[in-house]
Amino acid sequence: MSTQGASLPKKIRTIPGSCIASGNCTLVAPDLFGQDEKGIVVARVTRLTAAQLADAQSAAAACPVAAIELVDDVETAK
Amino acid sequence: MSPFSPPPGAPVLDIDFTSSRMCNDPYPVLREIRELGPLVWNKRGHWMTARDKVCREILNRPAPLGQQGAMANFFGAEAFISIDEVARHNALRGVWMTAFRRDVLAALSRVIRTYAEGMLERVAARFHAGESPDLVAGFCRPLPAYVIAHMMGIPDDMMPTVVEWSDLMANSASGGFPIDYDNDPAWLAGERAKKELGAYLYEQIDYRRGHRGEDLISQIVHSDVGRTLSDEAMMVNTRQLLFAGNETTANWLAHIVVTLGRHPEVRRQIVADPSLTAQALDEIMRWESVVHTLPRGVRGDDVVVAGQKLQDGVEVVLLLGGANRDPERYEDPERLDIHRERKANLGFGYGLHSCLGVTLARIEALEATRAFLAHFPDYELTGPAPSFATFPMRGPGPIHIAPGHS
Repeated sequence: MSTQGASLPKKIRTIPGSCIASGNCTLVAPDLFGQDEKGIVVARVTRLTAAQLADAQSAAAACPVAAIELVDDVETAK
Repeated sequence: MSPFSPPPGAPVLDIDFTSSRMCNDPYPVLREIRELGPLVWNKRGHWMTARDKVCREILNRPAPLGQQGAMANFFGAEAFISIDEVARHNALRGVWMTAFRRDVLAALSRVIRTYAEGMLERVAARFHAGESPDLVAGFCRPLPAYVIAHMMGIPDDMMPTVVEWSDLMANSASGGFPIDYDNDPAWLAGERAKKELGAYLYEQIDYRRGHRGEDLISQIVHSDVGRTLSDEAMMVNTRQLLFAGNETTANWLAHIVVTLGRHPEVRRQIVADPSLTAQALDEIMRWESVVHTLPRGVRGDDVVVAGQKLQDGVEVVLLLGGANRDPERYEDPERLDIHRERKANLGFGYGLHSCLGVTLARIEALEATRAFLAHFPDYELTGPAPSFATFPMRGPGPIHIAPGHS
């Protein structure tokens, strides 16, 4: 991550292999996260708007197994 | 005895979960169960599964395959761990959602380290005095108890008593299956401990009403949902946290000490590169699971699992330690391999009732392991091999080591 990271837009990256289907993300940010038929995390959006960022951060922190990451969206930033 | 019987042709075994074979080395039996089929009938009156996929399928359907009787008997019907109705469960569990967030828990690392250091210094002092202290009693058991009690705002001088209550409760949950609730002495001793702990927690809850703090008890007392709860509901929810925070982590720490003692090559890798510690601890959780049995009860007449229709009311016991060595999910599953592809094992459960405290447990295990290896980087296990008293919640008994050069 570069020092400009904080100002870049963010996108959601999920790590399904780590997911234990706790459902925390869907409680914290139901507009951004759902679960597939096996209970595994599914991101409903990829690129986050500024208004969605705080909810996405809360969901990432609430995930017990760190299966949600917010990464710099270099493409959109260009 | 169970009123249920298997359909014709179902694979059947007779497995006594209290036998010394299941306590000491359950893995050959778990493998046999897993290989016999997705569901195997235990002559003692319930289904079993030791397959990863089937466990996940069941844990993902809490409504027709719920916690049912066993959890409610142990934790209390109003504790969220016993509640399968999703909205109600989430409302109660949600009280502590923030407290168990990763960013919030990170602030506890220092507290955990301080407790661990203190305990290890006392252990080291006893080695210097020529004694051979038991690491389970001196380190693995008290550390998680002190940490969760600290989070609950329980004063330090009460902690030994809390540890004792928790031990008795753990012992009661780890007896035979199904439990003889009227006569099993371990169960009855556990019931007494639960009552005493409950009485203590009632006092704590009452005190928090007028003395709001940052602790977990204050959080439920002063939450929106907490204000709608009876004192008993508040108590059982608080008590479940304390118990769940202790027993599982204590046993995990004991497994870690024994496993790293038996696999010095793994220990040396971690000592040389501490960034490998977290993945090594996850692998130890997979390879030596703590919670081995999760009973689930069928609700309704149309419940199908692994293609088979199950009778209303029958229990299915998920054998998580078997599922965690399922070759369909893990390559060469019987091998301890800290470099294997990282994916979630079932050690912390799955779905609605997956462990609320995963992150706390992981931080504790990480801090404990680092502190332990800093004190005893080349310890060796000594004395008789640690024994395992119970299968359902499985962890090694007294652990003695030669401390090496500390």
